[in-house]
Amino acid sequence: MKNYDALVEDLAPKKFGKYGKIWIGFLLAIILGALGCYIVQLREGLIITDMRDYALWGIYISNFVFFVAISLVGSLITAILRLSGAKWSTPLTRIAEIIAVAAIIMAGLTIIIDMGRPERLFNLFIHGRLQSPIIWDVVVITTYLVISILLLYYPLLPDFAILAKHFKNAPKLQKWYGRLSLNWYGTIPQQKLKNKSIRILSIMIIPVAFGIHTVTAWLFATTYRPGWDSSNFGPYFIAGAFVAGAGAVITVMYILRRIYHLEDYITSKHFDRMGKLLVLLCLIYLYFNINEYLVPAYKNTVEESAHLKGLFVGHYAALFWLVIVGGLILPIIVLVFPQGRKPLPVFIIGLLVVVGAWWKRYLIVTPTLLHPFLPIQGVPESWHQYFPSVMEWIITFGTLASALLIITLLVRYLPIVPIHETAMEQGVLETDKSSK
Amino acid sequence: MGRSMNINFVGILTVAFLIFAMGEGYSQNEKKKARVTLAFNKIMPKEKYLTISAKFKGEEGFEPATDLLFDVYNVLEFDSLVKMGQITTNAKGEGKFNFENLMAKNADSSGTYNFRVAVNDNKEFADVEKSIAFKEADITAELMPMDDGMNSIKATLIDKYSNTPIIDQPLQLQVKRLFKPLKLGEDIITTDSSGTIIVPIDSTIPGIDGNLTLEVVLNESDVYGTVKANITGKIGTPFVNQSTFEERTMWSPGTKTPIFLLLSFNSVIIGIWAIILFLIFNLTKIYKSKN
Amino acid sequence: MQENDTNSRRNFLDKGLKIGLLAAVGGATAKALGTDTDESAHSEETIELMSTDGTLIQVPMSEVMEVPSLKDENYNVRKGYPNRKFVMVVDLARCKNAKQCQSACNKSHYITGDDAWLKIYKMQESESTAPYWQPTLCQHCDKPPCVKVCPVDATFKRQDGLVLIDADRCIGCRFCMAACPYSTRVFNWAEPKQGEMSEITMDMEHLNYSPDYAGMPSQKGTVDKCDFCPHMVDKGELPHCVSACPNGVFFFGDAYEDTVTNGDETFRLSKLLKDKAGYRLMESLGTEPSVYYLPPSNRLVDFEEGLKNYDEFKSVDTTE
Repeated sequence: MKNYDALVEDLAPKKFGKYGKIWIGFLLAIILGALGCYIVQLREGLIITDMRDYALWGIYISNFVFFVAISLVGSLITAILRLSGAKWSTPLTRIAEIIAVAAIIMAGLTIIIDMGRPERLFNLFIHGRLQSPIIWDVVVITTYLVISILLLYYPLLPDFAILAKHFKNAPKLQKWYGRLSLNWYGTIPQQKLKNKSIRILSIMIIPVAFGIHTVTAWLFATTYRPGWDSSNFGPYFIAGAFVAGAGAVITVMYILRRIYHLEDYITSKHFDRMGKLLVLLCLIYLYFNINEYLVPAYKNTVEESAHLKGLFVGHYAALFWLVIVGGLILPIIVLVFPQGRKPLPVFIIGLLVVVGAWWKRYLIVTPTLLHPFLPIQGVPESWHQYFPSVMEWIITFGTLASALLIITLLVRYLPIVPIHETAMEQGVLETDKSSK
Repeated sequence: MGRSMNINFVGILTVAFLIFAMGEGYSQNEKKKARVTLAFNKIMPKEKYLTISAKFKGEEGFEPATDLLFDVYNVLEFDSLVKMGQITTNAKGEGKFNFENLMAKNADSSGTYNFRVAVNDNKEFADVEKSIAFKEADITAELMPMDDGMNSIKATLIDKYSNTPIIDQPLQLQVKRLFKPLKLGEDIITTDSSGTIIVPIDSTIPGIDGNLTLEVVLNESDVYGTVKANITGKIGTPFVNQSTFEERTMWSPGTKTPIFLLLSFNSVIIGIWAIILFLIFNLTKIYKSKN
Repeated sequence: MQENDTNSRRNFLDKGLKIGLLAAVGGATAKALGTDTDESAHSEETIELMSTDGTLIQVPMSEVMEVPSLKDENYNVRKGYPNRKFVMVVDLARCKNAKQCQSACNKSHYITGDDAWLKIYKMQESESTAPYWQPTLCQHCDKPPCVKVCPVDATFKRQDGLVLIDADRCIGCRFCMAACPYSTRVFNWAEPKQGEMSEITMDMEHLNYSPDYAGMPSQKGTVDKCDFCPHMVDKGELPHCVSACPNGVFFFGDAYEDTVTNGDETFRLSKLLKDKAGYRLMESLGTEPSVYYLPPSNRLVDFEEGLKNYDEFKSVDTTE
């Protein structure tokens, strides 16, 4: 058991090393490239993408759905595990909240990238129609963003106070941490207010998180299109989001553990637990997948069968099975074995799940659009298929890099593992000197 | 009597025109040859006009001769011409020449009007002229309620010059509609010995408040041209406006959101944001609670 | 050079405005002068108009008469005409894919993309049933799924049944396209190149853009579709596709008047739909289209004849 000072020393944010700077440079390079492409898109129009009248949505939208899915992790790790009293997850809560905030910010920006007239965004507020699921999405995403930020911020209050004290020799940092700590002295009323607020947030974020995923699913399910026209879509999206979010947390926590040498705080026990959790989530998601594909396949209407054929044996078959097997079945098989839940294999599986989750959204959005009710006729042959253009890819990678940049910057200035909570749980918390 | 005379007159003119047009065609080879048709129309009680339609044979069949300037002449006895005005064809190659007052002095001794239109010295088109002869007829129409609550229409066709009924002429009954009139009845009914037709009207025809404008038409008669009489009355069925425009529906504008959606959505949002504001307020409380 | 360009552009614009005026007076009809012989000698006030071939002509004021408009002073483009419900009937038994409707539509709406608003689908329900041609345009649904999902009220349903798009308001999210089961909506992926002559008209028209003339002009990043030609209806004329069809396939009219016409023949709508067993596309979806179809039975035309016009990969002739 470490003493308090060693613990603070371990967990306080650290300056970027050489690799950290290279990493930032790498992300910035991608983001700049994406910005360049986006300027071209603003000038030329969405013609620079491979989207056309039939494939009218592409990776911008599937990427948006991916971000929304990842953001669910905030409510999963923080809220659900917190409420269920699973203390083991404490060191992971900050990581989960950081990922959630980054993902939801990028979800909002990605949807703007997809707009044909982004400069008319304000029309949503002037002329908004409550009947449109897009308005629901805009409202619920904003709400979720605010709640996620609050859920990140509240537990940070004591940590900021600790850091303000810790960085005595860095006046600038000290000043900022001091300000952000909002005069936190750890008094009983402050503690009470904080704990009560976190509890309210943890409860409230669950319906809102369900809301954001359900509404995002409804963007598709409210149309008549085969593959989207499903009453299963809301829970299907939520289940998928849990999987994606858990995968993201596993991936990020492994990397941060390696870089910041947090082995004492993020232990192999955490990987084991997260591995088990992921199996459970994958099983639930698998169940929804079976519902989603087998029921229409059983009925086999003309529209559905054209769509499903494309997925099972047709144009998308390779990708489809890779995503199902690699992103869902393989994780279940690997993670049921204790050896599979060692940090490295869990990390690899987590990464696989995240990549699979990204492509899964691609498979939800694209193939459906290419199977309209009336035949595709009278348009150029290239419009019968869709594969993202180079600029589309660059812009999409730019959004992914931006999410990673937000995570990186937050990790730079925030303690990755909550200091105050960890110290409290380890029983080394020094009674606040200032309050004496 | 007057009728056969007229036909002869028209026939001679047509032959004359053909010879004339052919001759012109040879001499002015590069100019387009317009084919002109003339028709006289009368809408009771006062509106009278000549319609001119000009076409030429282009590469892809007949095309409208547009912006063609015609002089319109009244042909009086001994072939003396009186210029009445000018008319230019529109994009469809059509023109409408209104007669504001057509008087007896414009007609010949048999009550026949003779008009001639001509194109002269046009850059694009060869000179051409076309004549028409017609007499004036009147249609009077009235609605007659019948015993069974239905309505019928009685219309009489009269030669204006001799003030005698015109018998055995087909009259078409139709309802005025947005684009083209809707014909009523399968058969065309011809006027009886008093120049009259009486037709019962189908009461199921919809109109605004049940109002219908009926038209009785003598269509493209060789002698009288087209004569039309309008009569409006509450003889149809009021239509049922099925538009959901004024209702609150899922496809209405934002100002007409369904109440249930408005209430449920806003109550949820207000509820959540009230809590959020409360939580932000808690932050300020934490900030201010110094020991 | 640059200056020259703008100058000629200005000139064109000037002429353009006159086209607008000509359009406003419609087919200018002449008013005659009675019997007075010396009337023509009168020196009259004249107005300069652009004729159909593009030259300026002097027309005496008295010859210009405004064509009566269906619009009254209360007309609101989002509300539409009162006491009207526009409908169309497409008689599949008459269609042989002559494609005149499509080219007329493309031309009058300045459609220059790769996807026409009106398409003639080659259809066949199953292998043992006969193939047929199905002209398909916006169905102007009474319960339009596209309007339901629009977040900004850019596409809207009017009281006269029309579903229109306000291209000045559209944010380009394309949700309406995803929602439409008839695939009739198209997107302006790039800046629409609506041709040089039209560009000038466009500039001018843009000043008073109105959703009731779709394509005048089209805007990059917004959705377009068939508008049922209210700009023609206003003049008492039929939509371009209706009047262009050589086979009288399209009937257009007002359901409240229970009358549809293809220009030559006029029918009572209810009777026509009963006699010919009319139907609507995808009735089961509950969208309640304003376009009815008459089944392709007792055909007067040969399906095969249309094959020579059929181009699976083209619906807009861009060579013009």
